[in-house]
Amino acid sequence: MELFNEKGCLTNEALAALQEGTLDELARLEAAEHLAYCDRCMDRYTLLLSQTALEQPPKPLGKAVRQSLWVRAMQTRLGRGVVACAAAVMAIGLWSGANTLMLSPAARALPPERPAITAPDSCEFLEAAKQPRSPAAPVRAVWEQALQTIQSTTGGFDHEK
Amino acid sequence: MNAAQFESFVEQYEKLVYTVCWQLVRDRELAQDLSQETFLSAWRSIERCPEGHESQWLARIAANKAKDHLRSAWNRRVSLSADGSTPGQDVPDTAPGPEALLANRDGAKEVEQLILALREPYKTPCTLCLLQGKSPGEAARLCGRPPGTLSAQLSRGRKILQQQILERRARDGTV
Repeated sequence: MELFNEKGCLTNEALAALQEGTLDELARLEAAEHLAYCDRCMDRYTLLLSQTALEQPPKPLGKAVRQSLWVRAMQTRLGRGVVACAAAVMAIGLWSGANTLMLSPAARALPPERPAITAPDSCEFLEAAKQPRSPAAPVRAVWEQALQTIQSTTGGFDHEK
Repeated sequence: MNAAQFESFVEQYEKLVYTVCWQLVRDRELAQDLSQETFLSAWRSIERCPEGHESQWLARIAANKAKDHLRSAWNRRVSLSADGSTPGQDVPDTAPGPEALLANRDGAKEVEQLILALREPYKTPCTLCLLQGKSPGEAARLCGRPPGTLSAQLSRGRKILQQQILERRARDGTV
């Protein structure tokens, strides 16, 4: 039996065999490929189907389709919800972490004075570095001096009055 | 179309869609699953459904679903099985391809004859691509077939040709 005519369309015999179930797997694949794009053959096929008794699905499709649509919608919404929650948790975590660092008394305090770095005695070539230098004023001392100067000239900060 | 209207649409066409799937795959359970997939796809693009041609539109989606299933099942079987019960299944990878034979003068005439004697839907893609040197995309445009379908048909046609060449060689005692 010829499945396709010279124009490459399904023959009437092929459509009849498809309905009767006498086509093998390769022939059914070829027919499906053709029906998937050929408007003319699809019109002929649906016309044939409209003239014959159609098969009843084992289970009604309406309920199954509705359930599948609901599940997919929930998956989409749930997916979005999970992403939003994860983003919120990350944002809160970052915010609270930053607050802990920025607002804690230890963080607000002035930096401690660094211990002086001295060269080991055994290093002769560093002797020059051990010579007394004019020590830089420690930061804390400078800060306190500045505060005293401000207080003496302005009589203290406004909010303390 | 809202969900309630779509449900009545499903009820109206479920027999048609199931029959198309059943006639193409010949498996009740699979046909049920493919029918369900058909309606889910239909729901996603319901606005593209042409008025007055609902049955053709749904049957087209169902045929596409069945085609995808049959094609993947066929490809799986061809790659796993080598019992030779179906065309192209027992062709070893080392067998000479039609392109290789077309390149030499002795084989070219023989392969040309084999291609022209192929049945549809393989004759047109093989003629355009193997004899006329068209690309699969160009050939698909020329014969009005989707590119994926043409590539699949070209691949199966090539396998059929390879098997015919091997059979001819074995008959002539040249292999």
